[in-house]
Amino acid sequence: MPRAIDDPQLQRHLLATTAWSLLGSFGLAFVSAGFARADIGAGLLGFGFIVAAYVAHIILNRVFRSHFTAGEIALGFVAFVVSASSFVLSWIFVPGFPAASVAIGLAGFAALVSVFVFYTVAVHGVRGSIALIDAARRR
Amino acid sequence: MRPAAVERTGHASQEIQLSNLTAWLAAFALALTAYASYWGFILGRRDGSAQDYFLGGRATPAWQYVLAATALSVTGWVALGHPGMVFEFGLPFAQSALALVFVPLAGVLFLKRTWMLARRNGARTPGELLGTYYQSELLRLLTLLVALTFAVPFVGMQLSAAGQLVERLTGGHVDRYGAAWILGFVTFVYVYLGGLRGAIGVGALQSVLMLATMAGMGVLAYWLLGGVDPLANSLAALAKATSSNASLLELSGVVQFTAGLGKELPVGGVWTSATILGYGLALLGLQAAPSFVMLGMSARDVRGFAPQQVWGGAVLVGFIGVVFVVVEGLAGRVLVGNGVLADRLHSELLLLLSGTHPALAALLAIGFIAAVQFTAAVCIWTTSAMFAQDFCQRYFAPLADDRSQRIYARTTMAVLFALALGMGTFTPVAQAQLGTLALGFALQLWPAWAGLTRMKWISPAGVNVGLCLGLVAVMLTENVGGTIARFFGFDLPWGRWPWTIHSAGWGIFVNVLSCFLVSIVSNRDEGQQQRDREHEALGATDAMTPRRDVMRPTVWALMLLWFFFALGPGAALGSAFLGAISASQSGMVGGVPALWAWQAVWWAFGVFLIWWLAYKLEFATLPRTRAEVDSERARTEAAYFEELERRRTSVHSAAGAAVTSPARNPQRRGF
Repeated sequence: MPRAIDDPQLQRHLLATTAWSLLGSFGLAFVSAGFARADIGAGLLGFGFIVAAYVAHIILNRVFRSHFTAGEIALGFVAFVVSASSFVLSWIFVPGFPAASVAIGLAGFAALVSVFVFYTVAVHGVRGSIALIDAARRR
Repeated sequence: MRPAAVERTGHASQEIQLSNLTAWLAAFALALTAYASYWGFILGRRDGSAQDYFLGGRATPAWQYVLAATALSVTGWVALGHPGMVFEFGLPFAQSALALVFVPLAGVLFLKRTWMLARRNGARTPGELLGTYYQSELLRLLTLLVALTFAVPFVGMQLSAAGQLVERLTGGHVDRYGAAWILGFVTFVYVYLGGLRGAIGVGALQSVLMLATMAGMGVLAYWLLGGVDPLANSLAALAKATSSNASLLELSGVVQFTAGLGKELPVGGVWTSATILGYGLALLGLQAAPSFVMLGMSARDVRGFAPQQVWGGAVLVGFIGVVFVVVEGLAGRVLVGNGVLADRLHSELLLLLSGTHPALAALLAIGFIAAVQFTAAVCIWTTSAMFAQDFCQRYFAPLADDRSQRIYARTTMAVLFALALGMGTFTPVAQAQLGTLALGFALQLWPAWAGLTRMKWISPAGVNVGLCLGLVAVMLTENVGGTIARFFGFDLPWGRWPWTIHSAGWGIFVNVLSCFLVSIVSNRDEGQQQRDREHEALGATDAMTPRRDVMRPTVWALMLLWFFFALGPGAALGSAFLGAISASQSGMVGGVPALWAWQAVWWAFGVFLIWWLAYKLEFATLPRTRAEVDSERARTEAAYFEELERRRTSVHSAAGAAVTSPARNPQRRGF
């Protein structure tokens, strides 16, 4: 049965996709410019937008008394792994990969990981966070 | 981060630059299409009635309403067109953009009560609401006519403009007509799937993209120019320059009694205070338009009205209009003078940006496209719904079931899209002439809404006569009037906007005057008792609080003052005075032209007025019943008299103590 338009979870989903689409688009644009021109400022600004999208999603979860769904977690991990892998592979195999681009990638991905770890520890605690890893491994 | 060089590069690198931009444009366009189709499908999966499909189940949450209404108060036309108008006409045009602050005024005054009446009566369209209240089929059809001017030529102009933008950004690889038709088709698909619910849901992203783009273009122009100092120095130089440039920064007077554009050009530019006031009034038609009202009717409750009117409309859109749009237009003008730009503002700025940031340039372009897409989606969908119910079902198929009504609406929507795009492709001149009528036409509905919600003395005859004459006046004072006259073999003695008064100004003047006069002699007709009962019921559920009673005259006086000084003759006088008394006496105040400083001041004051109307006077807040208001009034009066009695008692006690015991205080024996 389709959910009603004012179903809170549908509203949360719509708000989250709106936030990610807007902030993620600007993030992608600036990150791409940063890597293309080895512009640290643009690259870090782009990652800043992506972090802002993640934070916005966390806030929405709090407002709607919800949490990240399995699909959202999976999508986030896949996107992170693909983009991080692309960065690492480019760093390794592209001759003359600029140092500025390395700095952008390392700082940006480190920021994303930090925000993720901070959120997980804040919500679940240190032991709970580690227990999550065990739970995921058992599945 | 500034571009190393803003001069044109070689042909080969230009081709690479264009292909990068085209690739990013295609990628973002595909992403937006996928997003819109996904949410159109999700939100359209309902088993509800046709009414759910037409009005989103009357369940639009407040936050969605705020974003959608803000976007519809701007439309792709303002987003695409206003910076270009500032670019061409300078600050005098920007003065009229101050009206963006008061665009929510119609919403503040009428929307809450319109929503309440629609809920009470079960009206499904604005035409049905007005037609039922005034017992007038003519009014129902005229409302539909106004909606059609938005849906076909007005939207068509925007789709064509978006197509032109895409053509320029892709270096001609994508044809403008093809781009417009593709954009129209994509919009048609997701609105077909999701109805109004889908249009509003997708509109959340389109709204924020549009606002981000409008601000971003201002930042871009400012960045290309090099910052505050180059802009201020260039503007100061313009202020001292010859009269042809001086008109970019000053109004060309209060009014000029010319025959109108096409017959006699005003001296110093077309944007006099009178033109600005009329154009500003035209913008006030945006929230009186049938499509906007239908959007309001779809809201779940009125909680979103005040936030949209104050924070979304007056504050955010007004700020963007007064700051970023003006910066983009003026900086673009300076860049033309420096040989950086040729003549097309948006596309040339984006092409310049694409040399270093192609993804960002493409994203900003998508923001414009999103604005046009949302306007098309809502205007065409709501008009289709109105046509299906107020015309097809009303006159031809009164027993049509939900499925049939959906078919009528969807078929109408397909026809309207085809007409809008077809006009842009085959008859662009006619489209432009008819498209300029939309806002002026919508403004003519103000008396009808006023009579429905507040002024019960306005009669059906008055509304109908006023509306008809107002529409005719708008047509006759636009280019289309001259075209029609020539078709019949004669020429009008005036051109467009005679006496430098915008057609909307002529229309509302004729409308209000005739509505008033006819209502005086006809407001005791058969339906007056019914209208009195409607107003009585409205008054009982949205009663006047004591606070509103006291503050009302002051607010109306301040509002008249605002219109006089912000949009009216006071703007010319005040800004000239401000420039004259500035320290440099060069027409600059704090490094910016006096007229711009004037606009900033009156933007802030306009925000304060809208806030006061919406919140303090409770025009847009949750309605309170008469019982609640009377109870509050009684408590207020009781508290007042209690305090009065307490003070009286304390004064008497102090006086009594002083009189009865002077001996206790040796100091007092003397008196």
